[in-house]
Amino acid sequence: MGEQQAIGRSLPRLDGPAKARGEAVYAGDLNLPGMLCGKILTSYLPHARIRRIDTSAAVRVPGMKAAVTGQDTLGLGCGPTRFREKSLDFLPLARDKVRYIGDAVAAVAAVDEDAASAALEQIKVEWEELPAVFTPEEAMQPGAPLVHENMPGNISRRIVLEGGDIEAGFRQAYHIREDIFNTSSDSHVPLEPHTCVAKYDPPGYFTLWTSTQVPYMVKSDLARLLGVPENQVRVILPFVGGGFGGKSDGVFSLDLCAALLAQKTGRPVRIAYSREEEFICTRRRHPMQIYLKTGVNRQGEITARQARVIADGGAYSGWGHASIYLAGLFLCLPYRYGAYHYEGLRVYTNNPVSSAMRGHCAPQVQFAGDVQLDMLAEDLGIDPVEIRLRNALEDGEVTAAGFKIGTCGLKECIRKAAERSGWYTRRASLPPGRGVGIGCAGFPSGQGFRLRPDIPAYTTAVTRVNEDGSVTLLCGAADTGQGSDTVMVQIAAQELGVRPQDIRYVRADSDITPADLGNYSSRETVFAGNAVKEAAARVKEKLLAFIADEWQVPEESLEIAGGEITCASAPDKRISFAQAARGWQEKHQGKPLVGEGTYDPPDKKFYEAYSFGAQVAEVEVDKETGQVKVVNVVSAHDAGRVINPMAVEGQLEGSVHMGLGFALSEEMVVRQGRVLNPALVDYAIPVAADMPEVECVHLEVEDPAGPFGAKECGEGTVGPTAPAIANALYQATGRRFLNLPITPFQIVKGGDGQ
Amino acid sequence: MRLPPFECASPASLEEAINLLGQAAGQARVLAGGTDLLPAMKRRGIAAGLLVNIKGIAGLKQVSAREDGSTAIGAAVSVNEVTGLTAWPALAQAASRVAAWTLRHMGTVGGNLLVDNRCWYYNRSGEWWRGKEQCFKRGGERCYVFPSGRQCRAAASSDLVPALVAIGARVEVQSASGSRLLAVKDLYRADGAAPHTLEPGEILTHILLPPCPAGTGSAFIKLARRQTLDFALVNVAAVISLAEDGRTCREASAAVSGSVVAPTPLPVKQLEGREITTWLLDEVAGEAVKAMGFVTYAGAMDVPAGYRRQVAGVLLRRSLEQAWERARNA
Ligand SMILES: Cc1cc2nc3c(=O)[nH]c(=O)nc-3n(C[C@H](O)[C@H](O)[C@H](O)COP(=O)(O)OP(=O)(O)OC[C@H]3O[C@@H](n4cnc5c(N)ncnc54)[C@H](O)[C@@H]3O)c2cc1C
Ligand code: SF4
Repeated sequence: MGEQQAIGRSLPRLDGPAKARGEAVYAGDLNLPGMLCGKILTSYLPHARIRRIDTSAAVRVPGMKAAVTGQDTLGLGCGPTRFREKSLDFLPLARDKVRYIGDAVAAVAAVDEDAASAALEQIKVEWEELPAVFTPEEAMQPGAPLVHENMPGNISRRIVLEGGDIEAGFRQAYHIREDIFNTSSDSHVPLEPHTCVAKYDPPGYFTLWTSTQVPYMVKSDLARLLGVPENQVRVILPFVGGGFGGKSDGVFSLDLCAALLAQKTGRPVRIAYSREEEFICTRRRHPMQIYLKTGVNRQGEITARQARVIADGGAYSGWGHASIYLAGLFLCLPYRYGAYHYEGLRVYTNNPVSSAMRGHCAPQVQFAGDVQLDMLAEDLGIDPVEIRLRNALEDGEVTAAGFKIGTCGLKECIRKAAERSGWYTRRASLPPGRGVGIGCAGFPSGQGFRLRPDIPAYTTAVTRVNEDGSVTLLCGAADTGQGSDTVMVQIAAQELGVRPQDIRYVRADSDITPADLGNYSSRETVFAGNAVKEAAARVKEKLLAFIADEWQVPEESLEIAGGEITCASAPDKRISFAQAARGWQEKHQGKPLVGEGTYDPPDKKFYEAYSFGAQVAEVEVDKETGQVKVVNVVSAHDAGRVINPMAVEGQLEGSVHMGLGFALSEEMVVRQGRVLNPALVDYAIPVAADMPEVECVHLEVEDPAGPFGAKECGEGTVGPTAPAIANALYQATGRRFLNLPITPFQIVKGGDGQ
Repeated sequence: MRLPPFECASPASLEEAINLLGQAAGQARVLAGGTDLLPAMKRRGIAAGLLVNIKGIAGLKQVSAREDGSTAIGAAVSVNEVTGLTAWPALAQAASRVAAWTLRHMGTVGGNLLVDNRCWYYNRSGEWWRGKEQCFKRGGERCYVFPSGRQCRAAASSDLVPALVAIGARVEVQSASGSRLLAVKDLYRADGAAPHTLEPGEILTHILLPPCPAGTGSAFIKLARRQTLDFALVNVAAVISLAEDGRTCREASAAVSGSVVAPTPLPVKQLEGREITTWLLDEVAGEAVKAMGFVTYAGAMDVPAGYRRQVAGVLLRRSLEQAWERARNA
């Protein structure tokens, strides 16, 4: 097979050449005839009632075409988790009040950006300032001002999870620790800020090109917000310059504003967020305070773990209703607990909105869990690698939160990462200031739980064989830079036995491609991949049945590979894929040869397949200045069968970058609701020169749930980096660091405990 | 964020540039690489009706040796070019830590000396400032970072400056009324809102480096949150010249920036006439950094003043050590 295999190969990205040449069209590159420039006026107050908005002066600015405010909307709230009515609290254009500095209050469209900016400055808003709350503690005080009047105590969502008898678990423990961890307010920082182009065609059709991870959610939500039937909204996915969860909330202010302005002016409108708006007005990682109590027996096996998480949700729900639940679920990965108790509180504040970000709450809780495990190991005199091996989940286990694990290569990952990093050889003899630490994580591939009852499909695909035997693959999956387009083509090519270059991929366009929930929860490879595989299999079945009939041989004796169909029982017979397809069409009155695929996860509560990973980081600390250099990271990952090794390595390295920033430097500093460093120069996201060497170790454990045995690899990989670094810093400095980011100042100060 | 409208002139001679600046009566600014000026204009932090581009003036783009042994670096020479000037390692080191390659290619030495002071408030856009009272640096009457302060404490942020101050470099400045020479350190004043002493209408034409005396070593160290593309939290440069015996310090100087409102010379004269030891350097550094005076964290508010002061002492000691080592090998 070798050459003929479409999967398991580092096929270069299909979109690579276009992107490298600058030819790829992002929303910001679209130039429609007569297009206007839109801009949004945001609130500069963290909490205020809007008494009146006067746009009359703005309308007189030369070049200005239209303004919209909340009065032009139906006043409906929206959000990505449609299954909970209460979470639909985000008004893309505020009506009665604003809840954070960055809430959209009006928008204008003008002939160019200068005119739009000038017009914005002419909009007069009469405010009634309200007292605000900026920390969960303040927000939960009795009598605190309410961010949402219908949400008493500012509790956005409280959730309790239980698994086993927690009291008994702690009674069985030989040793118990209690610690408090804090994580910071991180920003996704996609290279491309959110950008949207909206076009309106009478009598009522809207077309949007928007940089999103969830085109079908945008379609459904926008139709609802505009009060039009869904088929009047078409969402086309342009190339997207990164999302990392930050573009997965469905409709953002720019989408609704651009649509309304396009309708009002009859001209296409583009709104592009500035980098400052991207930081402030989109979403961020939930900052969390994590209280963690863990009991272990003499062998270091966890008998009980109890957690209380308080998350600063900011002004709206976003994904938050899921987030605070997921934090509790993900804390049970990747280890086995005798008993578990989790209480999560997501609290509204007048801060920027927290929502999903790569790893969706796993990096926060797994940082706490893995650092504490290291502390427990030390208390008991057990090697950190050993304690992880003793607690690591295994094939077929059920976690304390109820996940049924399929395949699990965690132990192997731990061993590999330890071996490759010289854990057993070099670690003991490192010079002062150097340290090696390990971190582990697990993550599900795509969610089975139905968060969007409004969208009937999880994910679907259609393959169509054309007259010349080439294949068109229609798929709603959202490639936002992670490379899923390429992987989908590889999967279809493998199933059909054709070359990847014989397949034309049609990206998400809600008028053309069938529905897909989007790119979040590490869904695409497993969910969309399964749908694509099925869609290809349907075509294959039709072709094989047809040829079996022609040749009068049993179907089972046919093989489709290398662009042709052959027969085991009749070696002289062979027909090319193209000829076979042509023959099929001729026999069927020219009917299109299509195959449909869908993926409907059997487990509707949780997930099907889980990825696992272990990373070992080596650090070098300058004890006098506290500066840290992460020298290298060995990342061993069980992503199931690897469809495209190069793409997986991209994910592994990219997530080390993200984990590095999360661990050591990134923090949106928010004071009194105001982001003080919303710029790349002031928000210390690591640069290339800060990156360690990353060694990737793939573990090929085939999982029956995934296409050809693949699992997710985009999110779980972020989890292990921060604890690995924090644990390495412990060896290097003799100090524990429980608060992120661990800045040089924290290191010089001496950390947060022994 | 878009640039506001402005006129732009690209004179071919210095005289013409000076004329244009003189006529514009304070409404004009020199445009060199634009890497600092243009973003500030986009943010509406700086307003200018006319930009006088000096990158077309051939005389400002050369590095030349002067009769008195000094090296004259034209103001429009790129920062990248300075990374290749080896006479003063501290300067080359400093240049190589400026921003990143592309910005060093665009950015000039003159612009680097006159780079604006930085503050997390001042660095923000006009939209961010909407509804907020202006601070000192934006023409208002208050400071957000140091609310009780009576003037702006935005941080001096050039990397070349501490090296040039320690080296004892001077700058040549020209205007319609003639030219003057001043020590680099005298280009600055301790007011973040108006951090430079250059008068409107003046152009910085050259930076004059003294010849590097025998037995001299110099070093520069920068602490930032990232390896590249980041302004200094603290940056320190030191110069040590040894007497003929190779052990006694003949002359020493040092300077600090990044956490101060104006780049500040650090008094290390106590070294002079004494035999250098690591212990002595440590002692002198610990004392000298007190001369930093007020430590500002306006440039990156998440890094506290106490830490900055402490680290400045470490960096001073290390740069003295490095300079000493280079002096011994010179
Ligand atoms: C992302 C980023 C990172 C950066 N990092 C660093 C860093 O690490 N270290 C650092 O030192 N700098 C840094 N900078 C700042 C800047 O890029 C450099 O200092 C650069 O050298 C400035 O030179 P320029 O020619 O571009 O200046 P310009 O922007 O052209 O000018 C700066 C100022 O000087 C005035 N001016 C320029 N030349 C003259 C002259 N000959 N006579 C009179 N006035 C003049 C201008 O009117 C303006 O007010 C960074 C900038 C950015 C955008
Ligand atoms: S330090 Fe200067 S620029 Fe910063 S807020 Fe204060 S006055 Fe403004």
